Amino acid sequence: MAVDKNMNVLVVDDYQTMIRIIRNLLKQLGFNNVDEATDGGAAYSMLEKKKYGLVISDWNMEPVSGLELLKKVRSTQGNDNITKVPFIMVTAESKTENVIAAKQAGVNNYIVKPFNAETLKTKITSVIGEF
Amino acid sequence: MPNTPKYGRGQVIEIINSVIDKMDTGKGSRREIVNDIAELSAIIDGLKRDIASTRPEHVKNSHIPDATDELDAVVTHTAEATHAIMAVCEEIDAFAGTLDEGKKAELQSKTRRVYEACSFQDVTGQRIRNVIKALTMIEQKIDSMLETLGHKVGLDVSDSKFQKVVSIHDEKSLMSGPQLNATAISQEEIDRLLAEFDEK
Repeated sequence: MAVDKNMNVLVVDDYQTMIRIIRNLLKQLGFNNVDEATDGGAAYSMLEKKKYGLVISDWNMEPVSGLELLKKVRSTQGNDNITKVPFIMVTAESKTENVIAAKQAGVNNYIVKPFNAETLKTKITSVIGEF
Repeated sequence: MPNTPKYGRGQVIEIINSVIDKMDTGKGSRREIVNDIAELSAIIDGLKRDIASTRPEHVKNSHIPDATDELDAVVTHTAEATHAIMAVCEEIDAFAGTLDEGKKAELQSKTRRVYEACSFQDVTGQRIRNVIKALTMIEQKIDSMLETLGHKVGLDVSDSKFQKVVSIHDEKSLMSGPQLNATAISQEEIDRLLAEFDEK
């Protein structure tokens, strides 16, 4: 099934710089419907209100981290739009233990910062398909 | 350090044990015990003088706050500069949208490289925040030390090293920000690790 580039994408990061970078890279890839949140709590509230086709989240945020958001998303009952939303972690946390913890929590892919546009595109493609 | 005590930690403990032993067994004379205690008192006084000369209150009240302020400023200014750079790139992207596909793609490939380069601000910002956290912790330790001893000057003699344990079951241990080269793994290694999970 072809990827709908009009789908909503949620970018979660406590650094405005990174949100802006990802937003611009997504725009160049053709994704224009990009929302943003600065921590996991705000992101989850947005997921409850709107259907998203992809979540791209940082890990290290307060008060609710990216991993906590991921766990809450995957354990949500009765709303597949949230439970099954494709989730990519984009983070500077690059220890083996981090990757394992994220994978066990249900992450679909993992990008270590700093990254380039090609890596972002490749990982998005691997999660939602060719576009 | 000036007035460095002539006694090592082991010798101080030896004197204390000697005093305790003499008092417990009643073997030492009162004079010997008083001499031992006087010796300990002299060591402590010397130590206090040495520590006072390092002016720990200056470190707490001036050096550390100054350093954290400077680092905060670095984060703020680099963020402002990065946003300014990206604002220009966004204008170029918008202009590229008015051009034919070939020129549009060429311009966008240039701005994409700038966006990628701008991600340095996020990583360096996190590294600097880690340094600020460390400095704040040192400040709190000094504060606690000064508070415990009032206006006298004291020292935490604990020499045990704190070993950080990283566990996938303890999220706090996982959130330490960008890794140094010695502990970091590459994107390729992350991909391999994820693939291993998928193969299981």
